[in-house]
Amino acid sequence: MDSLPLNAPEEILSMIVLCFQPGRDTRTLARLSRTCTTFHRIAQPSLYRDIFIQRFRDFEDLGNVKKLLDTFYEHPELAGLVKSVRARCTQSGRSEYHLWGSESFHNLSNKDILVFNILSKLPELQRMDLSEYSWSIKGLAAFLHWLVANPNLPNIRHIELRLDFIEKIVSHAGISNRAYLSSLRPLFQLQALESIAIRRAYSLSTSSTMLLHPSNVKHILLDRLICKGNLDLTLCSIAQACKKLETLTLICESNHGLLFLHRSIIKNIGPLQDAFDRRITHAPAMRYEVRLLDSSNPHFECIFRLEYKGPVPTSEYPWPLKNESEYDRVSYSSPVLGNNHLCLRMETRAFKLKYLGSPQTWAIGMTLELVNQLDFGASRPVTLTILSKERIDENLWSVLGPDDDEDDEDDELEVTGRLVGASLQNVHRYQIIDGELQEIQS
Amino acid sequence: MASASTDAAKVIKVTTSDGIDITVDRQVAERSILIKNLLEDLGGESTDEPIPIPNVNEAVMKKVLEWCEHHKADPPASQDDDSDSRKKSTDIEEWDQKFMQVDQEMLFEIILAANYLDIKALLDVGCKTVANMIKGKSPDEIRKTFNIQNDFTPEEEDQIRRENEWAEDR
Repeated sequence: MDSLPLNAPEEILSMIVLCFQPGRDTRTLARLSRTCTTFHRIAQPSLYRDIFIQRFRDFEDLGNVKKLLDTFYEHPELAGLVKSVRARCTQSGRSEYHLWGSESFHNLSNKDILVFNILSKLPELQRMDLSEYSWSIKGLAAFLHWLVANPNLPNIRHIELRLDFIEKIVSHAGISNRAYLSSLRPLFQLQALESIAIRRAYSLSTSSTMLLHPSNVKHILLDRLICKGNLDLTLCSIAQACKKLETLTLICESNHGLLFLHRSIIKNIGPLQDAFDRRITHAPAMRYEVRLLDSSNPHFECIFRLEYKGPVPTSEYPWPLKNESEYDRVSYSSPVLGNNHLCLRMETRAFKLKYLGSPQTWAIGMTLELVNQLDFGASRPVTLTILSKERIDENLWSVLGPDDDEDDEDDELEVTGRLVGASLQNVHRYQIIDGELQEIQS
Repeated sequence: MASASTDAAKVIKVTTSDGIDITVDRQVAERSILIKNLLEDLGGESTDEPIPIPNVNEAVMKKVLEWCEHHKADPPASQDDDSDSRKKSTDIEEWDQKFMQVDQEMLFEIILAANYLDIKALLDVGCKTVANMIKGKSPDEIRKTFNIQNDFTPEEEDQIRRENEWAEDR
């Protein structure tokens, strides 16, 4: 029997090659393209579409950086196939900070420059995933300035960065590791850019609303944002610069899960919403989300979501979530409804007018425990409808009264409206009437 | 089953390349878009006439119909879940894995038949099976497994090895 691949129509060989994932099955694609001229021709585009650059910061080892550079020097046509780059530069082991001495914390190292040399040879590059590439603060700044000034990279549409700087390792030696929004400023000048994902944005902040270059960015993800300080100023600056923004996703981490319920986030939503409200009438779709992840409790999740003009299809997310198992309890559909999920839809006019600035629908999805602890401050909801896929044990519910030991600012969170349920099928509906949880029919 | 009684009469015949007539439920056969379109074109009149399938022999056709029978209730393939299927590009469900445990010649015959008969899901499973056989093998082992002729000159081979070296040693 002669076997086939080569007797088979080339479209079938292509289908086989397409089973391999560019950027992930790299080695297989490389080996397959060495077998014969036919597979070489078919596999090269997949092999080069999505490349992975790896080096280690604390070793002399250049990873595959030198080899990639050699290849692109000799074969610019292969460089032209590259649409997406994922670069990783981390410490390789458990080295202590004093082993890092060979590279400067303050500027780009020669090895960083080699990586940039690769990038600048890729005229068709659209996606740049540097979420595993650790920087010094000045190194990141230098990179962004280099990027904006580089005429060879006109097509960058998606950038993913991380903001946990290597300085944190020596922070006790007095080097600050705080990133200000201003350090990301050059990003907003990239005119082709459509989406920005900032991973580990622990320290992103700004001291005042700052004017950013008007940007065409449609999607922004701020992952692991620590919601304190002047988050609202950061978000306002972003909202003002990105007039075409369609989705803004914040993934927040909290240790106890009550971050949302405390007013720190809700307070931040107000000014953000004001800033967004002005564009809402022009935007085709607008979604604003806050997600909370609780590192100490794997079952915890809390999603705050605000949508305008109907739900946004999930597929519009331009970035895959990292560590998907970590996020797999996060539902994208709206309203959020899954096992152990509750969906609250509220129409509390006063609340919305005050904090969201418009009478649009909004929804919160959260676990039962969290709903139980819902704290509206000084006054509690009159009527609250809860939708759940599972029956709720009525004993689980206890209604919070006015929270006495909070400070006087509480009364900003007055809820006086009526809360009504959404039109969903096959769910249990509950209402809280006079402090009692009651299931309601139809 | 209730649905079976109403559809029981709906069987069709296909004639394979080696001249064998096979009788099969219309619903099963219609997993093949080629057959489905043919039947629709015929307007339901002459379904007694066997449909000639000149590119597929009896052994392969039986195997293909076995797959169609098992998957007859699957929802029709949608073009939109591309991103999802790409994520698990080489995952194959258990029944299909067992089904594909055939010799290589049969495997490729199934793939070619699925292509000809336009059964996208079966074609996908077949290609994934081959892809899984390629994974983890050296170029030499791949050539040996699939009987591929190395048509590179030694210089070309060396050059390609060097240009792709960045991808191999991780």
